[in-house]
Amino acid sequence: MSEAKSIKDLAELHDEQQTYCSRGLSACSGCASELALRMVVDTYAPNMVIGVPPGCMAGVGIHGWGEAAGTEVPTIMPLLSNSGATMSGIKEGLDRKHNDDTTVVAFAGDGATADVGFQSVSGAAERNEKIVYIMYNNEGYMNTGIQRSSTTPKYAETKTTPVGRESHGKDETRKPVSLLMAMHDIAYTATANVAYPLDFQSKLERADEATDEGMAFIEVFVPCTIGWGFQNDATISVAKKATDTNFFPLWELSDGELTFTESIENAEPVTEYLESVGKYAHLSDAEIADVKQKMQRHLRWLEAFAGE
Amino acid sequence: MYRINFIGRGGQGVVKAARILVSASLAAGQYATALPSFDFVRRGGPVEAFVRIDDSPIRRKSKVQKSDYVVSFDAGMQELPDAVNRAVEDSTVLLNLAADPEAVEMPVHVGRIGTVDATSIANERLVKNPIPIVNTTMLGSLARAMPEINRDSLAAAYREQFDGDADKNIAAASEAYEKLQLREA
Repeated sequence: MSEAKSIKDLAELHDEQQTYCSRGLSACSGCASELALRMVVDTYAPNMVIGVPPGCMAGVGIHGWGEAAGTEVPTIMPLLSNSGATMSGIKEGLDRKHNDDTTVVAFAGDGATADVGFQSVSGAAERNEKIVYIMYNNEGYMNTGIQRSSTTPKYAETKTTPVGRESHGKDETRKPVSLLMAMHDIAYTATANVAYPLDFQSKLERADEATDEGMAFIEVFVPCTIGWGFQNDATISVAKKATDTNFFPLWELSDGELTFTESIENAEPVTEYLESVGKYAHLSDAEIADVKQKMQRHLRWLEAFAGE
Repeated sequence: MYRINFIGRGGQGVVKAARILVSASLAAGQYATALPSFDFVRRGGPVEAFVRIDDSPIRRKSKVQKSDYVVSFDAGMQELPDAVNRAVEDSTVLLNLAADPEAVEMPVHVGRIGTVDATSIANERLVKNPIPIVNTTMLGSLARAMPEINRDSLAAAYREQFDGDADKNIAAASEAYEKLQLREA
């Protein structure tokens, strides 16, 4: 496993000579999920097994392009519904071979985690399986054509929650997946953001350590250029705004203790974030007020666990 | 039956080009079908769309294997084996390329080769995009190479599709219509 203490270390980690991902994947330009996949693979490689169920990073990540595979580590594609169970089985198999130093990682989208595969990941969490489960959250089914998922935020425009006379984006609130996972009392839960790579890296390391005790779950925030509506070169600035406005706060929780890893004080107004993303372009003042209220409630929940 | 194969990249409007052409053909009293083909919804990934136009109902639903017209939105695309294999001896191949058609070498023998710098036209008249959206522009060049396309119906299809932006798109198509360079191969 590799540790990075600075951005320079990170650059070396993902250097062409070092990386365990293909030199050039076939994702859209400006893809945050690809960046997250690279960070995960290069952090844990070579001693890892990764499972990536159907989703963007199965099709254009691990699958590779032409005759080259996307990853140079043992890789499996579970079904959309069973990443938790598949990776539990692989962990069990390695245990029986007395191999206890291989990191078993699931890298699954929000559809494969929060919707279709939720029973499986919840089951793995209840058994406190010693695996690292990473949910890359692009807030919808992007590779199939931008359909809403349960983590799509309220009011967001998708192809199945369009903006028009009869519909004004999604009606329902996003599912707080990380909190739900933490409530299984697993060994480690965290949220991360590609715009905070060192924070993400240290959480990946802590997750790996936590698998001595049980399951680790990380939700990483990955904005999607084509699905959300922003230019290819704005991925990181959009991602950063989400955290800086407390729309996507960064925290980690272990031993029942929640810690904010980026301060939630002095947050920028959430409109800074909403205005940078096309899928919120239609929001009315009342809807923005509702978004703020939902965010405040979510923050109060988190603060309760932080004991603040 | 006329068989047309559009090929380009995700984000260039390949699928929409096929739909516009179909709706223009229907308005002109012809029968027409469109079929898109792509892998992931992925900006920059290869996308194909197939159109069939006929005077009688079209029963065939499969991809077009032998195209009368291959319209490539991206200069490099004619090197893709699938697209090239769909071109036959009397096919017309239209490329979005700022070069004389004499300079184009196709890996297979085709009937006619046409070139037009659709990227410049689209960037100038429409939106400037990292991946140039050249669908409406390239349709203009196709209308020139394929006299069976009714230009009035095509313009009407643009109006139906684009509301306020229709005129800009029609102007881009007209410019490509004029500027297409076509040679017998």
